Amino acid sequence: MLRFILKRLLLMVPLVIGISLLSFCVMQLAPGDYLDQLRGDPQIRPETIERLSQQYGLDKPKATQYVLWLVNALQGNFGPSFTYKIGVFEVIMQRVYYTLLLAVCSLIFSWSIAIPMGIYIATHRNGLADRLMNFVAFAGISLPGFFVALLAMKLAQQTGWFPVGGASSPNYEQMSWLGKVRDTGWHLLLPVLVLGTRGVSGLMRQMRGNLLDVLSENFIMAARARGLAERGVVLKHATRNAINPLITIFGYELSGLLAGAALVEIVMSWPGLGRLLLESVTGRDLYVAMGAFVMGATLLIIGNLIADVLLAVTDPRIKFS
Amino acid sequence: MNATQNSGDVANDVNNIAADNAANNLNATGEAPLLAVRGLTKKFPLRKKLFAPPLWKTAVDDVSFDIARGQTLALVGESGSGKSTVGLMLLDLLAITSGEILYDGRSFASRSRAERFALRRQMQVVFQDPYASLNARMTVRETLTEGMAVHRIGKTAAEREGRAAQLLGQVGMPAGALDRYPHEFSGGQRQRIAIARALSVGPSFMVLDEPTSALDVSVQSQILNLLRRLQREQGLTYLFITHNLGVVEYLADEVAVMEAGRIVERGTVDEIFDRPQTDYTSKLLRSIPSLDPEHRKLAPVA
Repeated sequence: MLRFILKRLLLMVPLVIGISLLSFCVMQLAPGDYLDQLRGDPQIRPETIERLSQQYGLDKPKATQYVLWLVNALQGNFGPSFTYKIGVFEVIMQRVYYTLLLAVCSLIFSWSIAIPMGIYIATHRNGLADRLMNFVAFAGISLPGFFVALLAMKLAQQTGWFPVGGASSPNYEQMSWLGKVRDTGWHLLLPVLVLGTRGVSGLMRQMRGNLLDVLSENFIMAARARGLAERGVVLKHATRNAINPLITIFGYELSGLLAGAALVEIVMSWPGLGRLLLESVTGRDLYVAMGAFVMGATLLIIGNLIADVLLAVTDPRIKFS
Repeated sequence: MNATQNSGDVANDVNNIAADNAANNLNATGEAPLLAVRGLTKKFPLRKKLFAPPLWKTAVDDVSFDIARGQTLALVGESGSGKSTVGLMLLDLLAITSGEILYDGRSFASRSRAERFALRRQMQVVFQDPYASLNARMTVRETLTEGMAVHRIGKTAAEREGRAAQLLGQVGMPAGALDRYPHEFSGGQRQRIAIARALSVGPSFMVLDEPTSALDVSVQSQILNLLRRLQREQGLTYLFITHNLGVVEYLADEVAVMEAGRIVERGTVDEIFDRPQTDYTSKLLRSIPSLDPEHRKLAPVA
């Protein structure tokens, strides 16, 4: 298993390099660069711009620019941020922390609700809860995340129960360790609810469908024939077999969360990776955009790797190879 | 059933048996059949419409038959004729719409919950597709010992494992198979495991629902031999459900032919094969592939 994981991690390297090249090219598609904004400003002398251009390496040919970035990146230096005036790595790591915090909490929230709920509505098919959840699920899938986020912001603003955006209170730095945890949790609540609810809808429908499929299999009949209680049949036999496709979804879900989170992050001013990516692209902050692309891809690949490992652990038919 | 029953139940039993005997035309030895089915009917509701009266599909229509202890009744018919539905109702896995099933002289309906649970030990099932009938997540050991634990057979886990290894021997599998998963075996081996699983709770009656139809022809006869040997050794009673009359001759004592939910013909194997009474049975018989070049032509059933 360790060998499998190492192999997959090694395979990641060329993939990530390819993505960085692609993101570099995409950034070059729009004409001009970050310094064009300064060039339009009559108060900045051309010599200053010339100096910045040299400092950031923007005066060199495009190919050289990329190779220089790559060589530096392989040594752990991802270049400077034009807008933040600090290293890209520092900018991104802080954002990654917040994005992962949001994504992991949303995942835990949606899975811990969707799985039991899916099992319940599958075993109480066409009951009141099933019909109600059917409606809720379709509403959850159909409503765009940013719209739900807007509604949530309205709620927060009207009631004052939740903070209106942001990830921490202004006096965060002065708080005790416990206070900081509580403050972050309080700020997390609404974004997690908004993102998690979307996850619940899809997962719950998926769990219901899978479980119903498995429950009609003959090994379930055979288990009933041996006198197993229905609870044991559902939890021990059926759920274990129904959960597999969901683990595959977990891999996609992580990428969906990173992408889908961007809109919610922007609306709720959550300082995550998705928002940073948008800001850096519109602000033409070349190295930050590349770093954010690479980081997003890395998270996605790692998410899929985790899903693959989980799959092999839960299903005896799958072997590491 | 057991000594703890009150006298009212016993009286009830005697009445039941007496009523049965009258209805049944007891066999030569005067012994009541292990299983007696009377007027068994199953209706499934079709799509409900808001203002229309509910429509019903009759899957099994007024079916009656007996199976004597240690005998095999073959239930034959094309797919969709209701054979498997009968099997599921006999196993108490599907609710009966009307009619009754008497096991050992007593109907399911007259038994308490605990008695119906205890009855599950008596009746087991082997399905057609050994790829779908074994839980892929469970080792053979788990599959074979689970039923024993449910029915408190064997005091310790070690004792149950010993029994599981013995069961594997009975169905011609090495004890080393215990720690392996179903996907590591071939279709025939999986069917042997499914048979061992059915035997694990010590049944006296088994529903064999097309047990060989999904297997290679060469493996089919091995499984049929195994089933026949087990029946001889353990005095098992079989309901053998199949669409393939070719294998009926080999295993069955009696044959009941089903068409569209009804039994259209019943008799011993010889009677059915030599003197089929209905057109449907003749067609089923003609659909058996023959090695004789003169009779190579297959006739469509319907």
